[in-house]
Amino acid sequence: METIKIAMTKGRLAKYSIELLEEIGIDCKELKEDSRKLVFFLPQHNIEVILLKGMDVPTYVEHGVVDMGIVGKDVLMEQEWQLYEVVDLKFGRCKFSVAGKPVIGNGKKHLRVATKYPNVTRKHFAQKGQSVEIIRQEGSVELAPLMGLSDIIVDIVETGKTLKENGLVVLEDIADISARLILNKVSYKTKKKEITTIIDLIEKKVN
Amino acid sequence: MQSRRVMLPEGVQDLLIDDCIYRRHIEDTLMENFIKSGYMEVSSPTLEYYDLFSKDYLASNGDKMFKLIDTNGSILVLRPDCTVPIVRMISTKMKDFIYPLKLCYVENVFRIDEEQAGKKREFRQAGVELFGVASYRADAEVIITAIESLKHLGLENFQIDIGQIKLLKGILEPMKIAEEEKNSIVYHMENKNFIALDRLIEELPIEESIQTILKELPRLFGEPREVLEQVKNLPLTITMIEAIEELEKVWKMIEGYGLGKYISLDLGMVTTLKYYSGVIFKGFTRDLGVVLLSGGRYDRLLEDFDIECPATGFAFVVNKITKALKIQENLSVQKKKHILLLEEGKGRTTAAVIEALRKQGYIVEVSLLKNTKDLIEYVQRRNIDQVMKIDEKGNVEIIEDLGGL
Repeated sequence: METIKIAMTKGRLAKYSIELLEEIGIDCKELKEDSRKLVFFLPQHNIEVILLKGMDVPTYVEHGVVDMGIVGKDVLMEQEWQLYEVVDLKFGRCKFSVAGKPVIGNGKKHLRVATKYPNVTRKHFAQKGQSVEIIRQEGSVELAPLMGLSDIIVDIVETGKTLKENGLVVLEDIADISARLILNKVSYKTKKKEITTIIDLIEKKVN
Repeated sequence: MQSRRVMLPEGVQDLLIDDCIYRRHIEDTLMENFIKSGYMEVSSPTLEYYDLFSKDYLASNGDKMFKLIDTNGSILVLRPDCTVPIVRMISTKMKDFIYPLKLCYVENVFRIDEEQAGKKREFRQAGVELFGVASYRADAEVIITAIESLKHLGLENFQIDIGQIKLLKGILEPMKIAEEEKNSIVYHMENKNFIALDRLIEELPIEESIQTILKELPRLFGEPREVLEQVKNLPLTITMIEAIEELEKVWKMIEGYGLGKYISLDLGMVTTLKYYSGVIFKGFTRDLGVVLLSGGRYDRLLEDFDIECPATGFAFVVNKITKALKIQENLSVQKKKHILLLEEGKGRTTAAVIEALRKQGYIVEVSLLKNTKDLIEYVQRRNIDQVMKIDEKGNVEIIEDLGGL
């Protein structure tokens, strides 16, 4: 049997992903041990799991060095990837939202938007026919409107707690986000049997 | 600025000595195979007019072309594709040639991809184009040429995945929905995004039987016999049945050649290039998750150039094939015997000896080093097989031990 290589997003998504694999009968004991290891081989299932940062998961899948990946829809939306997106895993749910102070000057000046997701932001405002200035951030986007760097932000919102603590409110939702199972376009063809077995089991579990 | 002297622009690369040996070996093998199958080599220029490409083509690929401004102000592009220039060549220079017209090429192509992450912006394509045959036999012929070429290169575990663009086109063309929605269907189909595709199709005002087909198509791929059996359970129209029969004939012919084991089908296969009009295909190996070759039928492209002529073809991506062969450890180029000649004699006798040795197929170089220590190091580092010495009278002597010099 062919070895199937799976890339997971480090952190919260990995925790849910491991739970999911266990639920479909894959023994992931080794993965749950606290270690700095990033590559795990599960010989009894012929599965190799690697842990990566979000953006790197689709890169690895696209280049065909791993066969499948589990990654948030936010990462898939921010960039165009050449891969198959086959199952909505329904965990890691949150939203892409536009947020800002409760009152913003409407139309008096051009809007500055701070975000970690410039492409999602650009696409959203272009669709609305609104021209905005995008200020790219690496973290703590909520700070930008407080400090006067931007008027509004576009970010992932899960509970809205961080926004509230910083005196911001959701002004508009852009899209729903959840974890997705993605496949390398070639692996799906060349390892169809093994991959289809895994997908079918996962699909049954999440639906 | 310092970094610009050290780094290369994104997406391009130098080929060092071994890379060049491999590239030449692979390209020579591919071209020899094409030529033995009756294809004739042509070459188009690196620069073309931007306006050569149709509106449809530019809409999806215009942003991905490298552009230059000519001295008279017209826009030029670096060859983004080999097929369109060859079609231009035929329609303007070879119209009266005898058909079927079988052409082949190996060229550099240039494309800007927005997000790079290690993707090439300049790469080599080697391919064939077959003009003037509308029958399924031409589709099968080019696919067989692709398979034979890969076999000759020694590639293993490869597979050619065949689709039929007429299926999806036949469904979408008469459909009365917005162009954008059609594009979304194609996009989700291409990415086998079952989640979004199912959601979108259910929202659109489409007949139920068509909905079933659209949902099923991307799921119908794999072993040809199984796929063809499954698709026949769907509520197909006559045009769809004809399109599938055409595909079946192509597969049967390839199977008849004893190459059936290399074939799989994917009825949900779509390509972003809009000029494809019939059977399309891609090739890959399970050892590397990338597409090694792609091609298909493009009858309507020639209408852009005011000639009516059916056509099909494909292109290999040379550097991906190199990578796949390396991974499989199937890339070995036979090294020729390398001789270093130490010369003491007259120029004319030396020249005669060199010519005689080179005629036997050896690599012969005359030593330019005098110092023994340098010589020993050179022989070691260059893996020289034999050192010979030629004396004043023209006698050649093999030197076993350089230390004794």
